[in-house]
Formats: sequence, structure tokens, C-alpha cells
Amino acid sequence: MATSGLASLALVFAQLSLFAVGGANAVIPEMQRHFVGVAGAGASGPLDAATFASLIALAQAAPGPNAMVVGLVGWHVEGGLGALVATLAFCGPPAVATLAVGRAWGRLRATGIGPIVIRGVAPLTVGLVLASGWSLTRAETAAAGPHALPLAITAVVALGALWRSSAGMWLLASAAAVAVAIG
Amino acid sequence: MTDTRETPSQRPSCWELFAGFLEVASRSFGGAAAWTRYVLVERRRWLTDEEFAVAWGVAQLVPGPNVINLAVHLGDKARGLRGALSAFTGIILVPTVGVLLSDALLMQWIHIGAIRHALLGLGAAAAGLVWAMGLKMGSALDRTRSTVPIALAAATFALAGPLHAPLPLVVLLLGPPGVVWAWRTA
Repeated sequence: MATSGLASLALVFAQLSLFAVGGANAVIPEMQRHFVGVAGAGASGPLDAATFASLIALAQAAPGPNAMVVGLVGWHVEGGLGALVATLAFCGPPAVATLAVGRAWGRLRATGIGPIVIRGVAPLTVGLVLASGWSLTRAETAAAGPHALPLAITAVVALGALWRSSAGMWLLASAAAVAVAIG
Repeated sequence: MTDTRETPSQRPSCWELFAGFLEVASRSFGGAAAWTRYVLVERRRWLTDEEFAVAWGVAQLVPGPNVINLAVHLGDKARGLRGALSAFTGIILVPTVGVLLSDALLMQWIHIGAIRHALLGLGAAAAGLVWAMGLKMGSALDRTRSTVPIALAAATFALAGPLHAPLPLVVLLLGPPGVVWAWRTA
């Protein structure tokens, strides 16, 4: 069972990686579809909404790329090997594609296709990141039940980060402190 | 701000690539792009600003985590496959081990109410950061010449968010029109 679990983990993340326009933050809804059971909605998954939300938070708060969330999900689903397999499956295919594009860049650049593709997929990236905001908010309200505190924190942090992008770390720390104080 | 225009491009060793990208990772609390430029261009002077912009373009052109793609690309340029692996280990493998250890510790203490509440608060804040990032990126979209980019972003959001459409479907459906639009307005 463990082997087939690892294989399906690898398959899911390898697939996701090739559509991850905009990086790990763009694939949050899709990870949720695959791994999170929604209480009352009949969907089953190895993670509950609260755990999933805290893994996202940990990956954002800890130093390193947000893609670390993939290792965390793999770790919770299949242990240490799961973390390695998920990370390599998610980062491997794009890495190979990057090697290919990087080595062919001299020729690709002359065609002028690079800037066009980057400009063309920008709207998609924006939509995917906003959709991730949506599904994280859904996950957190599902985990919190009737409490309005998480929604309030989300709104205040979003406004704070819009106002000053460098404030991310302070906002995360204050949110944790407020949540502990109010309970 | 350091003047980086005249700095020649360097060819860091595998060890330097590992250490350099580990430094990028260890400074990256909540988003790595700004720190990447600071460490590689200003602090270590491996690249000029212009070379950095080109490398960032290569990393963006490919789907997947941009900063990791950038590490692989620069590692490969400096030292081939071994360089790419060194940079990859520094930017994602070592930080992931760190985050797994923190997670294991936190899970030991999850029965403590304060830890649980702190994690819920962090989760809610992380959602806020993602909304802000999306809105900021959205405000940078080209709105002066056409409503197409905004419409595509809105459609992507609706499909991938509230409507729960699978990601491959969304990308294959809305990616090509965006590229065609960009090509025709180039």
C-alpha cells in the first residue's frame, strides 16, 4: 500500500507541477481537491482543513520558497519518503524544462517568444493566486466553525500587506499572537 | 543601493551555488523574489541587474516554482548539471528539512490550546498574504489598452476558485487565449 501511495503522490505532484503557472501558491486549490477532506461535503482526504491551513501557514512563515508546502503535504500523507517524493515530483519536471529552455535560450530569445508568453500567462497567474486566496479562506472558515476571528485576521492581513509588502513577517507574527490572546 | 551595472558575471563554484541559494532561502520569509535579487546581484555580485532580469525571464517562462527554476538555471549556467543540483539542494532540499522538523515539533505540542490557536491565526494570515499578492499582481496587469487581461484573470479566478474546476483544464482553456492576445498586441 505504501508503494502505491508514494506512486500516486508522485503522479499527482508531477502533474500539478506542469500547470503551476505562478508557482506553489497557484496550486493550493488543486492540492486541496486531492488531499483535504471537507467536513459535511462528503469528500474524503488524508488531511483535514485545519491541518492543511496550518501547513500552508508554516510554509509561508518558515524561511524558504513557498513550494516547501509540497514537502509538508507529502510528509503528512506518506511520511519522510513522501516528503522527498512530493518535493522531487513537484520541482523535478519544471527543473528539467528550465534546463532545456535555459540551454536553448540563445535561439529562443531571437524569436521574441519569451516576453509574449510571460505577458500572455500573467492574467492566468493572477487568477490562480486569487483562487488560492479563496480556497484558503474557505478552508480556514471550515476549520474555525462559527468564529469570525479568522476571517477578520485574513482581511486585516490582506490590507496590511497591500499597504506595505515588506510587512509580511510582522503580520504573520501578530496574527498568531492575536489568535492566542483571543483564543 | 549598490551600483551593479558594471559588475561582471561570475562563475560560482558548486559549493558557492549551494551556499548562495541557501542564503536566499534562509532570508525568504514570505516570498523569495526580492531577496533573490538582493543576494545574487548586490551581495554576491554573480550577475548584473540586466543578467538577472534575463535569468528571471527564463525561470518565469517555465511553469513551477520560479525561484527554484532560477536556481537550477543559474547553477546549470555556472557549473552544468552538478551546479544545478547544488543550487537546487540549497534553495529547496535543505529548507524543506528545516520546515519538516518545525512541523514535527509543532505537532508534538498540538494538544496545547495556544499552539492550536496560533496555527489557526497563522493560517488565516497566510490566506490574507495570498489575497494581497494576487491583488497586487492584478493591479500590475495591462489595463490601458484592453480589458482582455482583467477578463481572463477574472475567469481564471472563478473557474479555479468558486467553481472548483481542475487546474489543467483551467490552464489549457485560458492560457492559449492569453498568449494569442499578447502576441497580437506585441
